[in-house]
Amino acid sequence: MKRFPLIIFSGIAGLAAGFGLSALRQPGGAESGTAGIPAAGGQAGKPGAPSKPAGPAASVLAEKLRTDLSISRGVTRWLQWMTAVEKAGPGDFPGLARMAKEMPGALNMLAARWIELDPRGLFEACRNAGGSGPGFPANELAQLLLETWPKNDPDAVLTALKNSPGLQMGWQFTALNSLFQNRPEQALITMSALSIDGYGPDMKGVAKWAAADPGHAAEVALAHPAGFASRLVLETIGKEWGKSDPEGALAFAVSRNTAAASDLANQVMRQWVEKDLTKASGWLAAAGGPERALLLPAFIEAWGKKDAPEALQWCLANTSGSQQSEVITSLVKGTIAQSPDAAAAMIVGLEPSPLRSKAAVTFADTMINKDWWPGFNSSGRSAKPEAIAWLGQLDPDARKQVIGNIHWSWSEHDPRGFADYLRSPAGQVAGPEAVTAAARNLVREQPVEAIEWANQAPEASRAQTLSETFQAWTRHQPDAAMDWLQKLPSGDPRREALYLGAVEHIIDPAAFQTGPLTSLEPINNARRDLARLLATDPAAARQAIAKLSMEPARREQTLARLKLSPAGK
Amino acid sequence: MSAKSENHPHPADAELVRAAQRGEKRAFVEIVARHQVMVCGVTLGVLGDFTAGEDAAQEAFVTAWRKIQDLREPEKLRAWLARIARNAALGHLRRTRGVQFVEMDERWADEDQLPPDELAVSGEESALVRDALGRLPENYRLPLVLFYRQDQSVREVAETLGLGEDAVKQRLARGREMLRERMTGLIETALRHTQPGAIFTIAIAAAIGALAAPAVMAGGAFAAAAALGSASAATTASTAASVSTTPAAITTAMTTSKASLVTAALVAFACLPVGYAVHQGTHPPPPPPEKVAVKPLPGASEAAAKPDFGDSELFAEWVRLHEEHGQDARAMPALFKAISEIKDTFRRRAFRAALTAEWAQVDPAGGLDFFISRNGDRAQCRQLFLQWLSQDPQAAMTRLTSLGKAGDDLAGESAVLLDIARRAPEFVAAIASRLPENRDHWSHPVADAFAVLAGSDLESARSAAETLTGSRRGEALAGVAKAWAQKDFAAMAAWTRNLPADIDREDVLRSGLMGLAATDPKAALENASMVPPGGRSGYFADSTAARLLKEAGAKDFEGTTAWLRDHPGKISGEDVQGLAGIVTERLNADPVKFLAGELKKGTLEVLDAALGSALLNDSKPQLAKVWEWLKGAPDSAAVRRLRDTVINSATYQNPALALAIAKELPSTPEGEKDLNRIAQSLLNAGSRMNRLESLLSDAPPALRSRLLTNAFSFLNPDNFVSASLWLPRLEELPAGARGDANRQVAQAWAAKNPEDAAAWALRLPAENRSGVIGNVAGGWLKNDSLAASEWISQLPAGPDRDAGAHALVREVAADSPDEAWQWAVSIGDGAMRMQAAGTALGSLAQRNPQEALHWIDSAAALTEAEKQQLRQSVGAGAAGKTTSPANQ
Repeated sequence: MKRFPLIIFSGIAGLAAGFGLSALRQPGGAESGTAGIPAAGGQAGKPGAPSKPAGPAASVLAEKLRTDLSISRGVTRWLQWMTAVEKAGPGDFPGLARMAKEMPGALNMLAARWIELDPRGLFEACRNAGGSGPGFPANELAQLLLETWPKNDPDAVLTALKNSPGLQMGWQFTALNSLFQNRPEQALITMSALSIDGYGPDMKGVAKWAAADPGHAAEVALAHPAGFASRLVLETIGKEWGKSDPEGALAFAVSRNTAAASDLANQVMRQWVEKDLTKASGWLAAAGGPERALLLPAFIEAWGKKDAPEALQWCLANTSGSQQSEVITSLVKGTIAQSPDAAAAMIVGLEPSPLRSKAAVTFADTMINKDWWPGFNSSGRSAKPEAIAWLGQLDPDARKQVIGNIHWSWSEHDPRGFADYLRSPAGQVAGPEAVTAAARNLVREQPVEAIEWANQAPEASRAQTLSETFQAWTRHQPDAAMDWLQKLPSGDPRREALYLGAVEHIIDPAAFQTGPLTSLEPINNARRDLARLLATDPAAARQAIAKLSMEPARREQTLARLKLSPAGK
Repeated sequence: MSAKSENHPHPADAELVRAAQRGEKRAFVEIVARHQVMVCGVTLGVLGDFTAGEDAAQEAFVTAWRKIQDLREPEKLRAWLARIARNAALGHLRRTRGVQFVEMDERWADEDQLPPDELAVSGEESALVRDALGRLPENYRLPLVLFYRQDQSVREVAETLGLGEDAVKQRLARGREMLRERMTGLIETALRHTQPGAIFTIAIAAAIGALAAPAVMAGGAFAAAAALGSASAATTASTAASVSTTPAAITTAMTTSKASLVTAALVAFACLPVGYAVHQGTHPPPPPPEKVAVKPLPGASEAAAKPDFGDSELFAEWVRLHEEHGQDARAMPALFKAISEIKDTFRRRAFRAALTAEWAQVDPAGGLDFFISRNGDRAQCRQLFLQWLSQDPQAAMTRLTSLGKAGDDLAGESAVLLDIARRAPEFVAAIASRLPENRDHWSHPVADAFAVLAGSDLESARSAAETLTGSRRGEALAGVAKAWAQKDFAAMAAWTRNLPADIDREDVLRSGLMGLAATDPKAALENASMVPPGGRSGYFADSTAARLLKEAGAKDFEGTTAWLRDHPGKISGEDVQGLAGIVTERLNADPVKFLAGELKKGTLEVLDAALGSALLNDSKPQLAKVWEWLKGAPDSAAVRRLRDTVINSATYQNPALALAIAKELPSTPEGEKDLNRIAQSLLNAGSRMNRLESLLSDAPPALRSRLLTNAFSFLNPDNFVSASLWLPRLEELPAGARGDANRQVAQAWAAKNPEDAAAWALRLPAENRSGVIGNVAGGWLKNDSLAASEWISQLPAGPDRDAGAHALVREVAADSPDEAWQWAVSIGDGAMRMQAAGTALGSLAQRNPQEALHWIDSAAALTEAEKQQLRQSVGAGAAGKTTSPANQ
């Protein structure tokens, strides 16, 4: 009997533990299971009709695996995974997927099996990820599915894509990329129908398609525009067609007379030059004026890849005016493809002229993608020394034009480096837009220094530069920027310009609109007037804001953001 | 277990030891099968973690195999194994924690230290057990663990620990008493539940190279796994017995004192499901499944504890592969090759993952070398390395650091640095210092690793970061700052101010703010302006404030949005995009509930930018639901903004919804405004002209005319399919829009078919023609400047010719200013001539003002007043203020 209290206590402890366990499982509800779960093991089905979207139901198999894994390690754990996935049916997969979420190896294995048994079910489970329970790795699984499924059953994927216009873009891209491998025609048509125009899929499948029947491929591509993909497709068709029947290809493309067909024709010409320069030049010489005008730049570009000096001599001797400018631009592109250093030297060797400036701009634009200057995709964060040296070898006009063209990229990705360059003697030629860009982007790293920098801008553009710079600061740190502005001495000459930046950022232009909008000038004037008042007479500024067209709550917010204390305070 | 140990069929331990000493692996596998429970018990007792305990136990057996020759008294196998096990566990502690002694409470409680896969398999029971056991001193914990995992043999616990039986009983009693408040029954269940079984034996067999050896398979533990249920062989029986603990067996073996305890435990277990059901009854859950597999209860645990490979075709194939290629280190590459040749994706992936794990056990160093030499197998390389790291951090890291040189990332160390920080922290600095420069803007593995180091030992981590060599020092300092800020933000901030000048101090402080946001979101947001705005251009939500919001929102979304609401203007709307990810998740989970909740709290408006981003991207499937909700939502500025957002997103992402919305819009000024916006956005600045025809066929009349007006403005040669399609559509336009539309048609048509376009233009009424002629010329010039200029020159003098000439000047001025100049001065209309002359002189005036002045002076067609005006404009242009004289 003396053991009785212990047993009673144990019973209570068991009850409490059960109660606690239930409470732990309750919040998500996901693991506690629902009725109608397909039994594990026996459900390991064959590929067939899609299952219903897999919900967050618990799976006996998954629970057993969880238990098994908790007491195993090393290779055994993987064997446990392997056999569990082998036995799993559609109803087990969501639970297993949640378990595999942080284990790429297990997730890959699971995805392969799920795709094998029930790809449509997996697709639906990913689409309705919310219904597949918390922690369901929808994105990872969708990527795996949409890389594989199109290879096994492209028609099903095409149907799924067409019926799911709201699908995540990343998933659409993955599926289309796979489809382009074995069903390029349908993939392109689907892409066009879905208005996807900013994605460039792999072109290996297109090359095969184009090689088999380039005319048909070209017809389809021209009839189903899909932005960037179309460009790639037409280039690929052009390459293939240019190898087999360049004259036929050019006849086709020239007859269509659209920009897209021109892309095709240009690619055919590039390919032809690469294969047989003599025949290509013979065809071009015999072509009519419009055809020659259309295809000469591509011809020169491809010639530049083979023999840039000779191509240059020909261009200088045989072209003039806008045509010369156009072909030299193409020559620069072709030469860069062969040797950037040779292209750089070629430009330096040209006489200072609009032609050279344009060639220099083309070169610089292209070289952003080759890391001479920092850009969105570049690995470096600053301009390369050879880029700075090359700029120094240009005449001031060409240098100014180049800076004017690349300042957006250089200043955004290396504001301090760009500002330093503008301070150097060679950088002094830069136009006001470059100075403004430097200041505006410097704000991200050092806002007060950026304002100081803006204040060094030429007088004609100083106010604008100050205003834009302060606006950039206000865009990210509105409160801190206004605090700083308020502390400036009342006689500081920058105040009006800086307030203009604040006004432009904080107050909707519509608030200044007093009648039908025929010109922006009245609005800009009103903004300047308000900025002047803010800089000189806060009370009057408050009154002016009281007259603006805005809701009361918005007006209060505006006053607060401009750090204008309420009237009478 | 002890009873079974005593009763197990012969041969006895000593005989097995002697056989093993002769090199018989099969005998050693038998030893493993007999003593694994005890060995795992010892290691678990020291380490307090099931997985780590089994890691150490396996290591102990491998050590025992290596040193089996040293065992002079085979009869004392059990005690010898126990000593090796304890040493292995202590060694594990030293390696993983880098210290001799460890605060057990801290270690046991720190679940975050577990790797993800362990977390994934740790159920509530494990957590409770760890928590409760972790609070016990080792001298109580170890006997308790051994006692339950060995089926309650006090004598054997005493033997193992070198204690008297009375001492063991006392410690057990005290330990149980201490545990009682922490759900004794549950812990006892879990301890039994986690006993090692046949699968553990397999792992050891694999580790010593005995796996799949036919002799072993015939009578060993491996057969127990492969042929479950046919436990005919002695080892199988032994193994099965070791994990089969039926109540009856317990009852017959137990002592009087144990009887009460076990009875108590059984009662507790029996009550557990009752308690579970009681709670379920008070909180109605979803209907339970017919067969819910929660953790098996005593007596039912055996099935779960054994691997059920018997009916697995894959496992049979796995065995066959090993039979064919072998199972030792030398066989691994051949197995890898054989598996790589399997066509079936699932089988290949499954076998490859299992083989990598096996390799990590059999020959991790060789495996690592193999995968490093194959650059394409980074995932396998990481898997193998991580497993080795968990088994033997010291050896894994020693090997890794001996490979490669500065700039190498051989095994994807950067991807596993966090694991290294957790398991072998003393190696982090060495690895970080040799990693190549980080070019991934979003991933900062060195910072993450140093944050882990700093979380456990700030001083050491800070010192290591400050003295780190290589390109990752700033990242390491940022990691330290992140962890430090969570403990003492002010001290961290003061430290950053004194960092060397070559360090981006602002970035380190920014990282500290991120750390603060993860613990005290509001304080972090208040201090957002301590550092510059930051961020990299072109990267989404990359500014300091946006990143802070992301961290703060993840920690406390409601608190963060309330803070934004209460601090208008502190953070800009653009930076609120930092919350886009969380908003996307919530919208996708239940858009109506989420939006209604935010509206009620007054935080809907501050989320404007985040909602815009979400609905334009990954929440686009919710657009229709959100639109429906908006119809019933009370009017407010926030609701109106959301309405605009939905309309904009729908036009881009879901044109069918946009058309449906257009049909519902009222004929009010607001409705008209919305219709205009829809018409503009549906064509997306002309890039979606390919969907015009389908849009026109479904659009309501009010939208159709707007769509057409916009479509004309986006006409170009590519989308100008034919004149017969577009000319009739001119009639559908409002009269005020036709002039611009005519000009667009002219430009697009002329680029495709200039002669026809020119003929059409010349037939237009004179008052509409001049602009159109100019556009025909412009379109024609782009394709064939020679023919275009011929056509212009043949036009009779007058407005048509002037318009054509002006177009030509605009087209060629940049490249051929002299050509442009000649055309400009040929224009008859004075104002147009001056404007064209200004255009022609534009670039020349800046480059060579003298030449420009010479042209002006030589122009016979200009009056002296015009020349004077142009001279002035050249002067202004040379000074950088080019203005057209016509605008002066």
